[in-house]
Amino acid sequence: MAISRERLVGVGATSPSVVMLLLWMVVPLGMTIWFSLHRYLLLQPGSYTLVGLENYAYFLQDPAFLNALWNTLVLVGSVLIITVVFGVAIALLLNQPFWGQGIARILAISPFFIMPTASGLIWKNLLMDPNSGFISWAMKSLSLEPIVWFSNWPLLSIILIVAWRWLPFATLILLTALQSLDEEQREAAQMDGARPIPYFLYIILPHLARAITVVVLIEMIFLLVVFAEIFVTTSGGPGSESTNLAFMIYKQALLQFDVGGASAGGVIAVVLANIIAIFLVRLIGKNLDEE
Amino acid sequence: MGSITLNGVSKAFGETNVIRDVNLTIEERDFVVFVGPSGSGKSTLLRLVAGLEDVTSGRIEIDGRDVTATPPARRNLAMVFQSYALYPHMSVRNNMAFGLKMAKEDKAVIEQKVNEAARILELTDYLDRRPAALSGGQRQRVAIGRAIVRDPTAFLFDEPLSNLDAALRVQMRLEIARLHQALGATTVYVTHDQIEAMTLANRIVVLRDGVAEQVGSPLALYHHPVNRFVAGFIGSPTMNFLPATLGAADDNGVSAWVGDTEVPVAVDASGHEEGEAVTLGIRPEHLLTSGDSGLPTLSGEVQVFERLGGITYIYLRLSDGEVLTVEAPGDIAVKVGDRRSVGIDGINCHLFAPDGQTLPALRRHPLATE
Ligand SMILES: Nc1ncnc2c1ncn2[C@@H]1O[C@H](COP(=O)(O)OP(=O)(O)OP(=O)(O)O)[C@@H](O)[C@H]1O
Ligand SMILES: [Mg+2]
Repeated sequence: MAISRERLVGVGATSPSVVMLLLWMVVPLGMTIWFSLHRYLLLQPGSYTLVGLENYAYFLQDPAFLNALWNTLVLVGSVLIITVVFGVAIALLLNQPFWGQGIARILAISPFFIMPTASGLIWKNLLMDPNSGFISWAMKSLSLEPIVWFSNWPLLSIILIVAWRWLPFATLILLTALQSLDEEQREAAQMDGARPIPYFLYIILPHLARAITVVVLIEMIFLLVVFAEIFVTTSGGPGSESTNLAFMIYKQALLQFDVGGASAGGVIAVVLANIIAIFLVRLIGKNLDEE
Repeated sequence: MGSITLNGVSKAFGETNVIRDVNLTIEERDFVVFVGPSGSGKSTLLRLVAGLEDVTSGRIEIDGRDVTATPPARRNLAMVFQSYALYPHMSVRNNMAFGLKMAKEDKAVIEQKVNEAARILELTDYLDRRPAALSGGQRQRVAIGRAIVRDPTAFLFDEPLSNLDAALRVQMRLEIARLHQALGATTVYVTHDQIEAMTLANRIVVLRDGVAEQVGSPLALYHHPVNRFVAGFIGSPTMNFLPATLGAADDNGVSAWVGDTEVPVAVDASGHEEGEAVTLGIRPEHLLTSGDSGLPTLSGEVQVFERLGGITYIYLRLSDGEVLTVEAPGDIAVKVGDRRSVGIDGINCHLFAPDGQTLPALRRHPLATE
């Protein structure tokens, strides 16, 4: 009896949060799935008919879908590579003792606290603007032809902006991991005659594997749904060159007023995200099991 | 191969002098142990030899070659760290092979050396495990294995056994002694542990505040400590120190008065006056509890006693309030509050001048080689 009483208390205590969480998740997901099975155009409020999987077929067959999927993968992949590679490099630098180290660390971390919309606008207007932007000015002073970022290199521009925002996050986590490297291990490697490069490859990198895994997994969750940076800069263009899945769904719903199609896209995006997540967790999650 | 010479070596961290003018010659095949209280600079001195710290002044030679400015890897020394410092993501095999790989040694040679070391250390069955899957003693052996495979000029150990439990410590201590006999490599070993120091070393260096107070064989330090600090540091339980007054001196030494007891001590008291205040030192194991030995006696009240089985430690409070630790047989009849007398043989006594220096003994103990 005692056990079941205890259980009852436990269930009673946790149930509000569990119910909240379920509602939070299930209701939007359920509504999305529900909408995705209907023909629901905002421009024709009257017509609201069950069409089964037609929306899915339509969305999947849309050539824009494959394009958006590809853009999403390129965006996620590039940002992950940039943030991990440069994150490791910057963390290594910041881990060296030098004057003003504390300030440098705070400065390096700060971009992460800037809203995506704000950082998108700063990049667009202050840095990447072909006429008045800083980069153009710098290139012109070197008598180079300024780059018209958002027209000619839209996806690259987005990648740079997003990577700039996520680099500090990666750096912070990797720096923390670096600081936990045992001092005696470093000295043992020194006695063993490990030069900087083998030391990095055989001691530091394996030590960082776990932190890198964490960075990749967490970043991926957010990178799959990048929206604000695209919205305030390229609006997915030119054409759909910088449209990722999140932005495509938005276009479907609010630019083409097709709620049913957008919902189907949303469900597809959730499924894809899960597939990629499972794949990645399997691939690098092994690091988490080790030790 | 394997001599190390320290010439006036000093080390300061900022303003603090941690090692002061240490001169030391470590001969080939020596097993030298650094002992001293915590913070006395043992680790720092070892790290100076290893090259992990740079000397502030002085010179370090290995096999006659000046290595003062040589980086650690090129001194051809191997170090075993207190925390083992194994590489956690590498197998035991790769841990041991790492140094050889870095030295671009031939694959077959590495394989053979690692297997040989694993055989000596009985690690053959564990070669493919990660350190995390090993017991403390096995990790310790891997750390030693990592040192052995490199065939170094000398081994450096920094408190290698302090993380092990008592039983394992004894076992590993024997293991290290056996290894030293088998390999015959010069070894420098840092420890807190009296027994490790006494049993492993052929020479002990006692450090205090960065100064090498005395260098000598374990029994030389035990029987002929040069000052009160070394006398108190070597031996366990620690030596008893009693205030005494110098009496008359003759060819056989000098008599020391502890209260009303006159103890003849065979030391050279020249340069000291009769009536001078000195300190008499006698080890607990040298006080005699068996009745009428005809020796001078000290008496007091039993304050506490500890029975360890084979022996009993009795803490006697003397009339002047000093507490004397006495080693007695395990089956001695004793009660708290008893009055007891213990015999004190001048042959085992040391006298220390007020500045702590030992008055030189007239005869050296036969076992106390330099
Ligand atoms: N990197 C350093 N910077 C400043 N002071 C240091 C440094 N390393 C050691 N010291 C100081 O030098 C002194 C000797 O330290 P060391 O580690 O050699 O002592 P130790 O004899 O090994 O002590 P323990 O038995 O506790 O290991 C200590 O007072 C310590 O605070
Ligand atoms: Mg130490």
